[in-house]
Amino acid sequence: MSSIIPIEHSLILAFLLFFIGAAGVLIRRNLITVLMSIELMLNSANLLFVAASRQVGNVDGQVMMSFVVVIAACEAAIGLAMVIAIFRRYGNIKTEFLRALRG
Amino acid sequence: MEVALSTLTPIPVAFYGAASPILILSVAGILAMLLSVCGKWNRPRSNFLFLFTILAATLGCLVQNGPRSFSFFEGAFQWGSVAYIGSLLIVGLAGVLAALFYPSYLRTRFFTGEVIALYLFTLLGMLVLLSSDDFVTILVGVELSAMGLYALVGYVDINRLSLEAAVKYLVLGSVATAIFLFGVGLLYLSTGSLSLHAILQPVAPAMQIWQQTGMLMVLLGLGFKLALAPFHSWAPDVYEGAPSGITAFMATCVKIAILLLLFRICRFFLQAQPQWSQLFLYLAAFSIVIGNWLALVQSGLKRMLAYSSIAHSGYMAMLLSIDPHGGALGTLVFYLIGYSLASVAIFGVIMWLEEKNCRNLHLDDIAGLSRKYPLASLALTVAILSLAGMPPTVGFLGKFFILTQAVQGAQVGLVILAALGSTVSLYYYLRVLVRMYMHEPDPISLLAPQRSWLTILVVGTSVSLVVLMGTLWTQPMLEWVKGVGL
Repeated sequence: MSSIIPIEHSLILAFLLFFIGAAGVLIRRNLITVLMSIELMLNSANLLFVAASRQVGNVDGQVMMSFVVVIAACEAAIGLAMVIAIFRRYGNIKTEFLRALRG
Repeated sequence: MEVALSTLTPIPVAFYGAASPILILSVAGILAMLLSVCGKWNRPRSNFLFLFTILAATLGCLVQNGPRSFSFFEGAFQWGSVAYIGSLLIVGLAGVLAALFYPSYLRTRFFTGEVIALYLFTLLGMLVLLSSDDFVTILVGVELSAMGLYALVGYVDINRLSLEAAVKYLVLGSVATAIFLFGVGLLYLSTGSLSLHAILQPVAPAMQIWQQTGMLMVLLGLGFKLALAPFHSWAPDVYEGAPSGITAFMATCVKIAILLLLFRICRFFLQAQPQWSQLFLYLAAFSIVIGNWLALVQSGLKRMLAYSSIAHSGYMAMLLSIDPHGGALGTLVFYLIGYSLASVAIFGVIMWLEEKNCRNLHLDDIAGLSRKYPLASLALTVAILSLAGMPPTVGFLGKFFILTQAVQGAQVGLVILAALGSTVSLYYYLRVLVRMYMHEPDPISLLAPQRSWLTILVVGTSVSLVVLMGTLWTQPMLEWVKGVGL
């Protein structure tokens, strides 16, 4: 299969998504948005794996990608469960209310 | 594309032997979940299941004794000396720490089906990540242990602090995973394989930059998980907010797992690209300075221990910057055993003192402890002196071996820094002892713990081991570590 899109394009997109996700984790103040940014970071790695899989010509990267999808789902499940627990206790899901532990 | 069944090789019998701890833990974890879902869960049953699982898994490790090495599924499962010693230590320590929950106020919360299942799956993840040469399996192991921990931190004792700790741990741990994963992706792009061995193959010149970046991201992701400074910011919050037993679990088992994994990965990475050992030079120096410096100003006992654990990670990371091939692994394991035993003793006393409305002990809470509980104070004293690296405890020898190796590795600057850091650390360790022995007890102190034979047994054993390994049993210990093939 001849590759129509060069690998550099996928790489740039993956890096871009990764940094957008990282910026989201650092900047956003809403817990759900933070969780979504983490998903974005994981998915940028997925994109990299799939693109690299076509570049190097074996399916290992696609196998890894399916594992990462499962892991991202688990993380979302635990994260959302925590968001619900936080909402019940604090009445909102802003990160600036999580400041009892510091120093 | 269809895979013909005939091309699938049958699983060799030896696999079931080598993987027996992993298989036992997974079956027991599923059983614990099913029992609690079916409503057949009760205390005696859970205790029996848990005890049986830990004993069986320990036995499963012990049977695979020695420097034997197996590799199955093209390296996806790999049993060697690191996996042997890591699994043995982790399973044993996890069993001991769970025993400490029994007398604590969290007994009814901890010994429930879902928490036991989470605990066993966390253990399973750590065993999996230690016994693999393949990034897919390593990732599954790392994440399995991390997911279990996120839940354990927030769920065993539900309150504001532990919820906050769990969220912080989840967010920063996931970011670390994402960094690690992206690094693996770059390595895969450059080498075309997800095996650790592929790092040693030469890569095309155009791909070198991606290989370097990938290695850096993998190492930084794991450094993040190990809480090496400057990626340590989550550790004090999580250590303070989590229930003490889970904090102890993180300070011992998780640290052992991640450090040994880092060591295994470094064996390949530093052989391919020796210049990355510089990275650990800086990480170790940062961790020693920041950990010891910030521990000085803490008044919470667990928060102080968190910063001290960052400093201890720094001492151990020194070994990674020297030589991951020679005797460094034996030294690391010796240090880890000493550090874990001292931590078990300290957290054992802390868990025993804590109560529902008196969590997160401060230094003032233990003022004058020696008047009321002289034996507990003595145990705490010995364990803290071991962490501080005073003779005649195992902590002194561990630090001595690390510094000797660093001198041999010509890292004199780092050795001086570590020695200075160790001297500074004496201040905050001795402050605990001064509070215990020289201050008047607080008349309205809430501490009124019940006598518990289990705590006495666990703390007493670990304290005597700390002293014995520092004096009489040093030689046998070192020979055992060597005999395992480290």
